[in-house]
Amino acid sequence: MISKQDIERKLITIIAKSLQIPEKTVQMNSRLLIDLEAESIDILDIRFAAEQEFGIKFDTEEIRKMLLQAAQENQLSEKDIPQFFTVERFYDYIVRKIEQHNA
Amino acid sequence: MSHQKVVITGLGVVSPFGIGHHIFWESLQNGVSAARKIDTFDASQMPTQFWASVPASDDTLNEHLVQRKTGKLLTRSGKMAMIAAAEAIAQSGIDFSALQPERGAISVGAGGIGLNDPDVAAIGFDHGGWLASNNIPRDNEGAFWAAMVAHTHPLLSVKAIPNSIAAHLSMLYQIQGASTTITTACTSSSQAIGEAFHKIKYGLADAVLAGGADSMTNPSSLLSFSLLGVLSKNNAEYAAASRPFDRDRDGFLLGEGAAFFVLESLEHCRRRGAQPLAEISGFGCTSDAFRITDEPEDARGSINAMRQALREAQLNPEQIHYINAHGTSTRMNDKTETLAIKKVFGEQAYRTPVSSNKSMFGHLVAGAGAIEMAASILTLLHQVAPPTINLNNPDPECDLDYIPHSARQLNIKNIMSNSFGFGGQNSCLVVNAMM
Repeated sequence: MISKQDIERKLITIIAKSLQIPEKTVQMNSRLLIDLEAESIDILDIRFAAEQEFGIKFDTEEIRKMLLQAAQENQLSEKDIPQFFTVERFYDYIVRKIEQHNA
Repeated sequence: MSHQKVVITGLGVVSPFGIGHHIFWESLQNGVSAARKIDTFDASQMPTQFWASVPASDDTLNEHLVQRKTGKLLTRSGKMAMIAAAEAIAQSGIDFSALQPERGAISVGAGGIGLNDPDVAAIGFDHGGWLASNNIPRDNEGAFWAAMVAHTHPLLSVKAIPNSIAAHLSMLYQIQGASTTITTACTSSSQAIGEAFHKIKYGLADAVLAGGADSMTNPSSLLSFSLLGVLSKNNAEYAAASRPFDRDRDGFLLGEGAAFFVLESLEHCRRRGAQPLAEISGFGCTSDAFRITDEPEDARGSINAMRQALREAQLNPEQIHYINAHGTSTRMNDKTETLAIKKVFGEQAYRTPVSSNKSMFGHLVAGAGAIEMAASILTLLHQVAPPTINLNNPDPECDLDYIPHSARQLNIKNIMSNSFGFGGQNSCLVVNAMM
């Protein structure tokens, strides 16, 4: 089974490759849409590459709800989602999906 | 409003000889063939086993992009277009973002990018094979489509749209006026340049980034053109396969590449102190209204395009010093084009040198008109006309001066460049040396 360190390393590689930026620029607390300046098509590309890499299928609605919840916990709303879309939250989601898949 | 004079201030090329206009011109004037045996896939069962691909992998092309991130959004032809456009912009020194937003425009000739892209072909060809290799009955087509949903890249559609090149150019260079994409097979980019010329001439824009690109050097495109019977099958002597106007010609050499230009009004060029390379003065554009791939025997469409271009340039046939022919090396084109030249030029046809660049770098399809315009501008700048190579046995029906074998020094002020395409489109440009 893939280790969490491997997931983190591979996810960072995927993001860096898609955005054509050095891997060291991609930190776990980097916000994809703000700090890394990803646009909507980049997210599609990253998501596809991650799905292929980890052999799982992502649910856009699940991700949206996860980020909305994080926003609401900080008394913010849907429009503030980009602030909470960090590499770490994406990583957490992937780990959870892999665990569900293997359960 | 008086008509504007239109000049070219920058050109850029990605050709089967390599990246940049220097290697392109060096190869053309030395009569080099860019044909090579296909080594990107096993073509041993294909009727045609060679082409003139650009000697750069997709990864290498990505490294040449101004914004490397866009590599994933561009097909191979898109990448080549961006590289050629960057060279043209650099030479011209123009800053499109400094123009009034609506005064800078884009005009691109592009092919059927999506359908011919290897990304698409890889999926499309896998249907039966995928089911068999997964031990799924052939009638369970749903399983195949489910796999397609899981494995098709989500950015396929934005890569495949024909206006993708124009869109990326607009974003990169902040060109905010009209964006035009023309898809008329082998006339696409010639027409794109012609439309750009008219836009400036009639005062609708000050500067236009114009050109075209195509990449059909992939298995599905090779297959489709092979089956249409338009490609040479001279696998044994592939470097001599493209032989326009030769008695033994048997089809064209498939090329790929891009060429882009900065077109400006002479006024705008002077205002910013730029150096014009050449002037465009005539554009003719017609349709045969006949058949998809056959040309009418009387060559009426080609003749009318050439006459229109001459009329607009206000030149007589005697004032055209060289013709950059469409010259595909197919039985039909070379004969019909020769006839058209004779009809338009009369006796003068025998005194006007004509040559086909396609003998060297093949047919760039939607990019053909643009790359041949690049060759024409370089011909004017160097006063050397590139040859028609491999013309060993002249066809009695093709009896003009095709500059066989080696380049020729000439005094050239005015050049006519022809492009004709599947579907019956004909396009002709007249380009002039700066005085």
